[in-house]
Amino acid sequence: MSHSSPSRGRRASESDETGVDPGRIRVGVGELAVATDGETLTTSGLGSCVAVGLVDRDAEVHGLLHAMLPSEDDARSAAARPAKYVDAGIATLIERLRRSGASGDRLEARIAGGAEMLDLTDAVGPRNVERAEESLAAAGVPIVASDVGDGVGRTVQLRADGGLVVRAADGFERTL
Amino acid sequence: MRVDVRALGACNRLSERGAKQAADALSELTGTDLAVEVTGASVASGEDLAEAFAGRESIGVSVGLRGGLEGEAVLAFDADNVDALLSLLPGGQSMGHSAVSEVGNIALGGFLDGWANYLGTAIDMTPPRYFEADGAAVLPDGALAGDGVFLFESRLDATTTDLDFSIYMLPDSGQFRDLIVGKTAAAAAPGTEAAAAGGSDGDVGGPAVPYESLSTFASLAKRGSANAADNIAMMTGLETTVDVSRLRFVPLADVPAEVGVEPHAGTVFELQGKPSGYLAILFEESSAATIAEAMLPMEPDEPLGDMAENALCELGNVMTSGFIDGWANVLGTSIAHSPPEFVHDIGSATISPLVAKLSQRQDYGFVIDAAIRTEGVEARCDVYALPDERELADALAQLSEP
Amino acid sequence: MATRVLIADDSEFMRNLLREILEGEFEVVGEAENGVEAVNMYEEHGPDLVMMDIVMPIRDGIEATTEIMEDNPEATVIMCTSVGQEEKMKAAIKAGAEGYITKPFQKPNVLDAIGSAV
Repeated sequence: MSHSSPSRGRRASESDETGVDPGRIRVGVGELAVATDGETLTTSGLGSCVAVGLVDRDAEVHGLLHAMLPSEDDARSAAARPAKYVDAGIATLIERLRRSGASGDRLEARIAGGAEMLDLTDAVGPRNVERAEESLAAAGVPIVASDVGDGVGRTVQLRADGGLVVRAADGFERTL
Repeated sequence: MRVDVRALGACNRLSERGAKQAADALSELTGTDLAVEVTGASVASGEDLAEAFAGRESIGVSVGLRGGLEGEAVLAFDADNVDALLSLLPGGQSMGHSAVSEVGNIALGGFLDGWANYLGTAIDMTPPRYFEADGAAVLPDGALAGDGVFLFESRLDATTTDLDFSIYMLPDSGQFRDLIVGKTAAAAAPGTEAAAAGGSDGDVGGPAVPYESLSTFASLAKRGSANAADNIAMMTGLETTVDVSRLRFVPLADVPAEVGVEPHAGTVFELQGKPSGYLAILFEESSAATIAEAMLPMEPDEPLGDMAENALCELGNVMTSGFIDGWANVLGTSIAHSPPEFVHDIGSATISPLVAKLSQRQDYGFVIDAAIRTEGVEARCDVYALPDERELADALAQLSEP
Repeated sequence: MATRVLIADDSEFMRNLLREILEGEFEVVGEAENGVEAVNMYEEHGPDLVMMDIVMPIRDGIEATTEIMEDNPEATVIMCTSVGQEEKMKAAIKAGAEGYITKPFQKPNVLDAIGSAV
């Protein structure tokens, strides 16, 4: 019933999740968000993109990044949006978490996505994952769980406790 | 007159920012979360718009624009939702039209603030006018008259209730031209991200295209669709039409949201030539199954199994050829396409690698809204044409040279 | 004595909303539906405060404010509008407005603005 592009059906509403009290914050492609009030951070339709969830449980701060490309160096344009890139996005997310009271040595990471969706494009998914691992290692943030690769799209939610709920296109769901 | 594609991009960002302000205002007013889902500039003929909006009943609130930007802006929503809206407003039920007009006024005020502040000028709004409209009559005056107008549209989605809004803005074209070659083009000059991209190329002018060529490009989509329909008819022996309602110019980063998280099936092609790029034809699952079944001599064992996949790949082949042959003919270039790659997954996930690849070089892509009708079966699909922006601009620029 | 307020807004919905916020603590002396009515009702009632919309038919809120201020330099006007454009804000202040609230507003915004203007 939207007024634009009649050829598109209803977008799936995300209200089937229990998104009650603390609320949820949607993170778009090439965006990141930090939450300090127990909100659930969600991002949908991860294909080759990679989602990085970071949490400092003691400080009750968590943040989610949905990055599209491995490195700022790949960009032919100066990065106006660091969250578009895995490396710049992780650096920005860590910095924003710190400013919200997180401590760098308490942060832990969970990552998802980086699928190889198409043979037509070079393997951007695996490169995204690789870069995420490198950047997190360089920042001294341990990756405690991951669900990456394969050829399947994913939708993720980062809970305030750091748990990353990953739902695959086929409906299979697991919590990292 | 030449339009810098990046300047058009800056207008798009303004529109995006405006839509965000409008969404915030509406969220506060209604106590419902609203998010900006899609923002884009579209180029379409009046006839196509009329077709695209056929059969819909809308409630609209319109304001006229004077001063820094002239034209008209409309906030529209589905007529069925008027009660839901009124129930969310304090005292809304008893206020009816007045409440709706004020909602429109507030949202459109927010939408225009971003533009006015950016332009460093004031945009005067006329008092809001409430109206009910059938079909494309909801669009700003003049949208249906021309054969290639710029229409900015944003969709605001409510996350919890059935309360979605669209904002359409049709700037007066003369003044809008000045705007995109004037102030906005200046903003795309050195220092900004887009300009840095152009600069590293050494192509000082950037991807500038003649204003008229943009509507030429819109008619390309139309022409391509006629070819695509002929090809399908030839392949299947079924009488087929492909209708293209319009061509939208959308930020690449919005494309995944545009496709949405519903499962989609379809085909993806790589294009080689001038322009190169990608083309994706995506159906919602049920549409994919319907069209595949119509093409197959017998009912397939499973709705989207191997047989359907083959059918959709073939369909993709002939549609893609139809589109790109039309483009190549008009542009006077040659464009080839790769074999189809079948995709079946979360819609936005299927297209994300294409967006990632192209976004290294550019910020915008095109979406062609299309519907295929074959032997009484109708299947809607979206065709995402993601050409290399510079190559396309070059080709379009050559079109206008004597 | 309660502060006497004139509301000028072409939207009945908005006038009601404002009246609801103001009633109790303030006395609403009148509701104008356009800029001309606002000027006339100002002359008639001599309110302590005008809550003035900008986009109104016949005469807009900035013009009405200018006209009110010409004859009544002591008048207090708060713009109460859906327009958040910087140039419009400057114009409103130039016309003599004491405050500027953008819609949608909550009761505390309105009371704060009145508190600092009166």
